[in-house]
Amino acid sequence: MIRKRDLVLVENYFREYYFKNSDKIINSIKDLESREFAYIDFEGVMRRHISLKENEFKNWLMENVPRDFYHSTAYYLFPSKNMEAKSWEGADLVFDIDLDHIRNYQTKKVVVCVDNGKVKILENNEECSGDRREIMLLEEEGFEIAKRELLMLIEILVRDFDIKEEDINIYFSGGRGYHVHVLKEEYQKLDSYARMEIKDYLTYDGIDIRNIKDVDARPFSSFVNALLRLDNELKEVFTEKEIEVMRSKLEESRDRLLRFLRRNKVLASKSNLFITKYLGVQIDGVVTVDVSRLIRVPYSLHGKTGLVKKKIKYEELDQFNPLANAVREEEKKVRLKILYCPEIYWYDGEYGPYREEEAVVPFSLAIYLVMRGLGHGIREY
Amino acid sequence: MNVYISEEIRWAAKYPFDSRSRELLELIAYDVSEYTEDDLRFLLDKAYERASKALDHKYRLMWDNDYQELVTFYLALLIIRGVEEDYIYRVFSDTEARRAYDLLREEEDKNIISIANNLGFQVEAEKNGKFRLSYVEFIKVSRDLSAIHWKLYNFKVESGRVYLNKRNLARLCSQRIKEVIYEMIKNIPSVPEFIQSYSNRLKKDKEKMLRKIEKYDFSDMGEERFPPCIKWLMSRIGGGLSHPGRFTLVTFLHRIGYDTEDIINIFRRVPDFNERLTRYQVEHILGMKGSRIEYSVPSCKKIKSYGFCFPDEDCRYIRHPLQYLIKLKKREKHD
Repeated sequence: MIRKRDLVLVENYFREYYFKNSDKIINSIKDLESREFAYIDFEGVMRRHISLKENEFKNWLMENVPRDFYHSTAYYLFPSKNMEAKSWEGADLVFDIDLDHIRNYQTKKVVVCVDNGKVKILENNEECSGDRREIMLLEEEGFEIAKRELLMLIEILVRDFDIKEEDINIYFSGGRGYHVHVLKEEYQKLDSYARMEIKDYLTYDGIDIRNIKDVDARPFSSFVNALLRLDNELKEVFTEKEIEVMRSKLEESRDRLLRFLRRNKVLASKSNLFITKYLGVQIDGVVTVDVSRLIRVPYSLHGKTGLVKKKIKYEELDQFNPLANAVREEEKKVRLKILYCPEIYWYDGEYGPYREEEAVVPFSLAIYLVMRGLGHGIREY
Repeated sequence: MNVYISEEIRWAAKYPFDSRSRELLELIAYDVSEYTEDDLRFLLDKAYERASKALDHKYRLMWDNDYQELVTFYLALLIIRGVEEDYIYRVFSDTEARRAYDLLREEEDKNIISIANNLGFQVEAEKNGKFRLSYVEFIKVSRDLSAIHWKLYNFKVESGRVYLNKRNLARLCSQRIKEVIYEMIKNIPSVPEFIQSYSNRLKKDKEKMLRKIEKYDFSDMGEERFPPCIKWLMSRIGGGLSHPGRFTLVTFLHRIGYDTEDIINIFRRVPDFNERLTRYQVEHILGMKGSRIEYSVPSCKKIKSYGFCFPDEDCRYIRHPLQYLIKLKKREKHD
């Protein structure tokens, strides 16, 4: 259970943040008054169908203080009416890269057993007579994997789709990944079906190599590159003999390989499997296809991490580490009782590991712990 | 006749739907009453033949007289219009679009580009017999070519352009041409009496075909026999539907015979029902307002992408929610 007093302190932290940063938020939302807003309050209740005017935005934020704050990717004529009556006028093209949707990435988690205020870290499937909690760890390694997908996404948006860098807004999501918002007139009116084509172009969902019309089509080009480079991955799908045959065809020409695969049913279906499994960009497709999706508001705070959904310049992406760079400016430190906290880099340095002890940590790390029931009793430091 | 005119007529005979041809059509073919005169009546007979054959999906790619080829197209449009049957309009448009496809495939590059541009595609020629088209344009049109190999990832895409060969481009054009010809028919306000007699004859000739349309008459299908996606949408009306959800439901209900009032009545189940707004939205989707395009019911593939496809046993091997009804109807007939 999260204690009432801690929740009030967290809420105050959010309120103060929003007081100082409301202008930044307003300036980050294109056509604010045509959006639907939604939020989860500090009691955990979701509220939707809110429309806001620019001049009342700050007051509204001060009065309501969202724990998690969203706006529609869509623009509506009547944003505050129910879905039927909103009258959809268009939507941003958005992409979501989230560690939950990345294959081959096992989120590191710690399972703890909390019993009468005592904490025990559980190994394997140990019994727990108290409260058993799984804690997903935020870690740099995960963010780097998500970043690889993000870079692939951006490359395709720029090179294949000719979207200008200034129209591609990259954000750290505040949680476990990245969001990309494309704010370009040309894309706003696209319906779900058109967006599905764009999504499939990225993920290669439903690919059949036999239908490829052009040896320069992206999935085939990627496959050709993989055939020359990705030994280990190839061996998970193909036999060595098969790889050898395909490589020899490729030596003759790309066209030769494609024609060969068209006639070979077994190799074609193995290639399809390989392409979707290893070569597509791993985005959460539903977010792109849904034209009335809610997405976290830029520069809002994530309720479970205390981190900012922060915009990242493309040139700075390489250096960006959310745990260091997405903590709010003017972060302060607090003291709290920590049940458990693994060793973690946060804001300005290494913290932890802590077990059943008091410690001084950045406020956002305190929020991260409190919201997971791993800490309580926040006090001024 | 000088060379210039004869070239223009040649063009119009091949592509009578093209904006370049329309002027000529107006100039030489629009006073239809003269075709009742004995020496021109044979043109009406030829037009009848063209219309009738088109309904059997037949067309010709060679002809002796460009002028006659052009005029028979226009007269055939009128005859088709007089049948007053949407299904017939569509079959005719489809056949004529196929004819155009066959001609375009053999066309010179600059000519196919001209046709494509007039249809609203910004196409540029590329080397190696390829053509470039904005990929956004491409995904807007390719949706109606349900075949899976029209997915964007099967083509080369670079700098916002998708690369097509002549055949692919001709196919895309023919999709748009089909819509253009259909609109041409729909936009004819009424048909003169002497044409109507040909229309009536055609109607009688194609009785069997028209009876087949009854197969697609679903007015006796109750809600309990709707496909699961539609049932799901019906059950959720009260809680509000997404835009694609509302769109799917309205087009579906309309297609199986609900009129605007019936559909609006169904939306009365919404707690904060607003009649004026609902009417506006429904009429918009049905093409009575706004763009005037009458949308068709989305395919299973689209419904899947919208996220409300919950297939049951009868959904197997079907690609369109209406096929679900045909399947049920067929089975009930046999039982």
